[in-house]
Amino acid sequence: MYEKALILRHDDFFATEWKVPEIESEKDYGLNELNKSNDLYTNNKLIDFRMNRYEEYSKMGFPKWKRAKLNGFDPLDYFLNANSIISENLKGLNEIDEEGIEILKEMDFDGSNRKFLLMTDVFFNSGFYLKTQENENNTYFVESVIDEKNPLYNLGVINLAENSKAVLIRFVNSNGNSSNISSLRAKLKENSELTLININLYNNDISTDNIFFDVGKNAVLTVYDINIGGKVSAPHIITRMASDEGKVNIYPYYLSQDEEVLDMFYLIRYYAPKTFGHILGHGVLMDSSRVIFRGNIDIKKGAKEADAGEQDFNLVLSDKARVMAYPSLYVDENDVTAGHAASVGSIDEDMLYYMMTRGYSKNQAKREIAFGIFEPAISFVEEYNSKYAGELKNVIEKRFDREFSDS
Amino acid sequence: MKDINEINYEELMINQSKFDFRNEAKYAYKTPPGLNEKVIREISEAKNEPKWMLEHRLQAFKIFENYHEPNFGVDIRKLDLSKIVAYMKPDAKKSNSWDEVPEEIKDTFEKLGIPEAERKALAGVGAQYDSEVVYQHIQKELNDLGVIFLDMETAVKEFPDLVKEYFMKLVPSHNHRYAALHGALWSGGSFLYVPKGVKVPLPLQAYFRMNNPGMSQLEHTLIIADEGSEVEFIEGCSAPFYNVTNLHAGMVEIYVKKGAKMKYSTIQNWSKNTYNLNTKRAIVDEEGSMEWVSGSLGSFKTMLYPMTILRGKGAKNSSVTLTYAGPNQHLDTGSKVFHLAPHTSSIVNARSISVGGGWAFYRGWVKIGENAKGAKSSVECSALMLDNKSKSDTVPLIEVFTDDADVGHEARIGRISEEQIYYLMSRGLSEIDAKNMIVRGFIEPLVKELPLEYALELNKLINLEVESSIG
Repeated sequence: MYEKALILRHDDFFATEWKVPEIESEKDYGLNELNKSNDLYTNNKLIDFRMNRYEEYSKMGFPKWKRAKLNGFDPLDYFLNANSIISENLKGLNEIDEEGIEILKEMDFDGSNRKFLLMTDVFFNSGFYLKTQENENNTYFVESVIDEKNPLYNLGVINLAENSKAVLIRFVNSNGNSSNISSLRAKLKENSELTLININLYNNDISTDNIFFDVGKNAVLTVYDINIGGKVSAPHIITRMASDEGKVNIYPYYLSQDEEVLDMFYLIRYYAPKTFGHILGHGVLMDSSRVIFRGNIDIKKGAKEADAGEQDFNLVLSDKARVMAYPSLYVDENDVTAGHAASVGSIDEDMLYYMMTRGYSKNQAKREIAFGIFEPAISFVEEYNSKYAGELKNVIEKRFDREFSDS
Repeated sequence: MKDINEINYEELMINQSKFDFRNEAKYAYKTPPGLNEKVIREISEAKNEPKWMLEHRLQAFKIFENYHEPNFGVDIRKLDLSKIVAYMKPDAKKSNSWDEVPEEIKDTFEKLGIPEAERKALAGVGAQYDSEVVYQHIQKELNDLGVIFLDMETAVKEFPDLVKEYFMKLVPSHNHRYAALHGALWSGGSFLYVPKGVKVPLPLQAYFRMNNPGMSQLEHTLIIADEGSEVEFIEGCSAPFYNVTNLHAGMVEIYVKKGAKMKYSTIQNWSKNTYNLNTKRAIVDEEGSMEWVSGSLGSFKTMLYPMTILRGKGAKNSSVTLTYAGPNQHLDTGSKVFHLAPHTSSIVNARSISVGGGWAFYRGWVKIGENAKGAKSSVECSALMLDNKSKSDTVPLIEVFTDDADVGHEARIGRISEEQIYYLMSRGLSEIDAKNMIVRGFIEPLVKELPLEYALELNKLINLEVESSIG
C-alpha cells in the first residue's frame, strides 16, 4: 500500500472520497514504447521495477481535473532521450543500487494522479540517482529544455546518508507546447540535510511534478518550488516525517499569466514527536490565469509537540484572474501547535501611494511591488547558481514588463 | 498538580439525559417504511394538498431516484432509506393553545422548556412532533402588524401565491440528492412572512421533536423578511435515542429583502442514531443582513453547511458556529458564503470541540464573484481537541474571482494548553476553574449570540463539572 495524499478516516468513521474521473487516450504509451526504452537500460532491477509498474499503468486512464480544466491527457510522441543534462557528480539511473531501488519501491504514493506517477516510473526518458556519503556536502543540478520533440519524463531518486548535506537544483525551461511529467523520491537519513530548488519556466506546457520526501530523525529539508506559467501545471509535493525532530520548510512561489492554470498540492504529514513543518506560499496572478493552491497539514496520532503551519498569500492583478486557496488542516493529535492562514488581495493602495510620492509612475510602482514578492526566491537561488537565478529573474521581468507597460 | 493528560475528559461530554426521554409511540397515521410514489401520494392526500404541490413532490422524487449520493462528507452507505418511515402524523390536532395539546405531547415540550420559554422570551412558537406541527401561536400584536407565522401546510393552502413564489426556489430539488428527497417528502415546518418595515421585538421559535424510532423528519422552514424588516428566529431540535436509524433532512430557505435584518439561531441536539442531512440557505438583497448562529451538538452523522448568497450591493453575512463531536459522532459542518455583489461583507467564526473519539470536520466555502468589487471576508476557525482519541479537521475553500477583494482566513487546532492553565492558576484559580474558564471562553462567541435562556441551556449541556475526575 502506498502513501495516500488524503487519509479521510478516523477509527470506524470514513469520509467520502472523491473519485477523479478517468479518460482513455488513444495516444497513450504501451509495450512498444516500454520495450524501446528497455534497450537503453541495463540495470535488471530497474527493468523489473518498471515492468511491474506497467501492469498497473496500463489499466488506468488519465485524470479529468475540473478546477484545472484538464480533460484527460494526450502524450506527445515518445522520445527515448530527453534534452536533459545532469551534473557530473550525479549518477544515471542505470547506476542505481539496491538501496535506490528499495526507495523507489517503498516510497510509493498517489502523486498528483497515480497515472502520471506511474508514467514516469515506467516511461522515464531522463533520470538520476543522488546518493551521498556520510559527512559529504555537495551541490547538484539537473537541467532540461523541453519542446514538442522533447517531452520530459524524469525519474529522480535521492538517498542521503546520515550527517550528509546536499543541494539539488532542478531547472526546466520550455520552448513551448511540451510536457514535463516528473517524479522524485528522496530519503533523508538521520541528521542529513537537503535543499531542493525547483525552477520550472513553462510556456504552454502540461506538467506535473510528483515529489515524495521521507524525513529522518533530526533531518532538515528546505524546498523552494518555483513555478512560472504553464498551460496546466500541477506540482505535487508530499513529505512524511516518521522520525523525531525532523524539520521541513516548503516555499512555493508562483506566477501565472494569460490563460495559464497552476494547480498546486503540498502536504506535510507528521507521524513523529517534535517534528516541525511549515509551508509558506506566495503568488502573483495576471490576466485570465487561474491558481489553485492546496496546502495540507496532516498530523497523526503520536506526533506530540509537532509544530505545523501553513500560509499562502496571493496578489491578484487582474479582475479576470481566479484564485482558489484550500489551506487544510487534518489533526489526530491534540498536543500540537497547528495553524494556517491564507489571504487574497490586490495591491495595497497605501503602498502604491507611498511609492508614487517617491517618483514612480503607477505602473512602475505596481511592478516593483509585484516583483518584490519574488525577490527572496531569486536571492536564494543566486546563492547557489547565478545562471539559473538570472534566467528566473529574466522570465519574471519579461512577464511583468508586458503587464506593466506604460505605453 | 495532576498532569493535564490524566484528567478524565469524559466528564466534559454533553449530558444527553435531559433529551433522552421518550413517550409511548403513538401516532394517528404513518406511511409504511420505504420511499415510493405511493407513499408520496399518501402524504399529499393526508394533507389535502393542492395539485401543484403533489406535482412538485412527484417531480422531486424523480430527481431523487436518479441522483447520486454526495461525493464528499460523511459516509452514508449504511443509511438504509428502505427502512425509514417517511411520514408519521401525531395523534393530535393542530392547536394555538398549549391547553389543547394532548397531555403526553405537551409533557414532552414542557420537559424541553418550550412553553416556559414562550411565556418568558418569545413572540411566537411552532412546535413540531414527528411529522407535523401540533402547536402554532404568535402574539396578537404581531398578527395585527401583518406578520404571518404559520405551519407550512396551512401556509400552502392560505397563501398559495406567496408560497409558490418562494418554496424551493432557493434550494431547488436538483441541488442535491437530499434536497430532492426533501422536495418529495417534506412535512411540517414553519412559514414566516415579516412585512416591510416591521421589526419583531422578540424572537420566534420552532422546535422539532422526533419521538418515534425509524422515522424521518423533513420539515420545511420558509422565511421572507421584507424590505427594512427585522426578525430573529430560533430553531431547536432533539430526539430520544433508539437503536434504529432516524433521518433528519429538513430545509430552511430565507429571503432577506433590501435593508432587512434576519438572525437565525439553531441548537441542534439530535440523538446519536440520527443522520442529520439538513440544508439551510439565505439570499440577501441590497444592504440586507443575515446572521447565522448555529450549535451542532447531537446526531450520529451530520452534513450541514448553512449558506448565504449576498446578491445585493452592501449585503452582509455573519456566521457564528459551534460544532461539538462527542463519542461516536462524525459532524461535517461549515459555512458557505457567496459574494455576488459589490461591497458585500462576511464574517465567519467557526469553532469546534471534539472529545471521546468524536470527529469534527469543518468544510467552509467563501466565494467572491466577478461582480463583488470591494468585497471583504474574514474567516476564523478554531478547534479544541479535549483528548487524544478525537479528530479535528479544517478544510476551507477560498475562491476569489476578482482583483478588488480582501479575503483572509485563519485556523488553529489544539488542546487546552498547559501554559494557559498554569497562567490562570498563578492568578489564584483552581485547575478545575481554569479549565472551565478556558472551555467557556472558547464557546463564548456562540453563547453570547443566543438569548439568555438558550445560553444557559447550552452551558448546562456542555458539562464542565470536572471536580470528581481530578479530585
